[in-house]
Amino acid sequence: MNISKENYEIWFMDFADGKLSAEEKVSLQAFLDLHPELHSEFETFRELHSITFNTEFVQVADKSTLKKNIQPTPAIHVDNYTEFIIADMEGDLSENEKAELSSFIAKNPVIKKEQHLLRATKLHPDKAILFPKKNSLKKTLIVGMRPVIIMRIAAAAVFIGIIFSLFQNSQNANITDFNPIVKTTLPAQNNPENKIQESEIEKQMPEKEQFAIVTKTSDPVIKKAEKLDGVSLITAEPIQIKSENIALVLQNQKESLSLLVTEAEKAELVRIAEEKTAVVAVAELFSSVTGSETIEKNVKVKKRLKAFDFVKTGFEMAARRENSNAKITEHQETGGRKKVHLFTPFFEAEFAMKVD
Amino acid sequence: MTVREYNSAVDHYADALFRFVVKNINDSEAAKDIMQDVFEKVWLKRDSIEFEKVKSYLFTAAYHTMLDSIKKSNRQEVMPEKMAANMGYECAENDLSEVLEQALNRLPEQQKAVILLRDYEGYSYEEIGEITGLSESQVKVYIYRGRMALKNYLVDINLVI
Repeated sequence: MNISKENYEIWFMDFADGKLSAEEKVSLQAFLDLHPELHSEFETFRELHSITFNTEFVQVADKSTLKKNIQPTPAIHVDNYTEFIIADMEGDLSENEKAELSSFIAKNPVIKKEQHLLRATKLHPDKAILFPKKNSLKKTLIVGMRPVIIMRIAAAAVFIGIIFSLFQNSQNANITDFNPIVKTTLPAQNNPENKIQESEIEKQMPEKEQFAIVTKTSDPVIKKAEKLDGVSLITAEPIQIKSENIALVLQNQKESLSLLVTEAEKAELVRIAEEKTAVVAVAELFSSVTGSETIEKNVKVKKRLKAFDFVKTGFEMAARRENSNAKITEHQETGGRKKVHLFTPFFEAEFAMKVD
Repeated sequence: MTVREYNSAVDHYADALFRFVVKNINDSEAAKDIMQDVFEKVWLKRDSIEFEKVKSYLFTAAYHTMLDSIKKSNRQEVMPEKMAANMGYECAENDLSEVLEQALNRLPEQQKAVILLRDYEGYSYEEIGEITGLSESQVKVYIYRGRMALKNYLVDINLVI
């Protein structure tokens, strides 16, 4: 090891301990010649070190000396007293053993120093050390995507349409710039007895009642979630929904739902819709068909572009599930509106909203 | 464990876990990576982890991730030099905690980890055994040996306490 500004103190110590070879002493001298600013430190170190170089602890560690002078107790003697001291620190001694150790140390006060040293080995956490990126570990609502349920994302996209239609039926909210359009279509060939079912709405909600569904973001938490093939939901202020509306829509969508959702899931959706407000219902129904567990409520999302991206991601997942038989198209329309369209052999879904 | 409970686990245990990892490997950047890995593992398995047991799970995952990381990078071989450069003697000679840290870094990985779990977190031998996969008696032996080694280091450098 060559002497450097990073390690010179080790060399100083080794010099004081007489551990340096003649050649190393030459290196040290050359180093000091190059760094006169370290001369005073070298001298100070040597002085301090010579002071601290006391012999008390060396004597404590010298068992051969101790062996001649130590007075044992029935169970404790010179060869095992350190184990007893450690056991005492660790709370491993019985009351009798503790008493015997006290007696042993009283008889052999020199042991107190070693007991003191052993006790000093107890480590204490440095509370100043904090994990600096705690928020990067946290999650918002993550919808874990298991392969078996990826297809259900497509169903979720359909359901978003349903819920938006419910907004239309149940809301008379003030007009603002929040303008989602959802169109879901079940192709005729897959649903021969019904004509293409379609619901399309344009709905405006007050700013405070926005909700958004998030993915494709620069947020590291979300990005990490995306690596897991998952997406995230964030919901905002709740909107009241009427239970009869969702029942009606569910009835109308019966055929398409039956392709995508189990009876139990449908029942769960109805229950959620009856019990919850609409935004939470949207998130929870998404959750129920994708297997996630919790809805993070009342989180405001400022960029409604995220809602668009979320749905798009749902579409992409559905498309991946359908492999080459699915297509996604995306359009930027005039007036700041974006539209994404998913076509699969089983259904089509379209989602559009104003994002600017 | 719900998302809320998971986030709560981050709040409650991330700092302590980070201290444990960083003191073990003396590399804060690598420790941050391990933290990410560990919490990701917990996140992925959150359905099967009860919130009451998440701390133990975190330390278990951290311990094994850390050992894997050390094996992969042969950190043990490079550590002594790195330690000397990073922290060795930048502190005052009589600063007990710093000297103890030097001593700690001379311990074998497992001894170091069990002592940190014992002293930092107050885990019992049994709990440390569950975290590390060692038997209870092995844990006890490692702690005893570790304390002796730490004490001997204090003696060796003639520390005035």
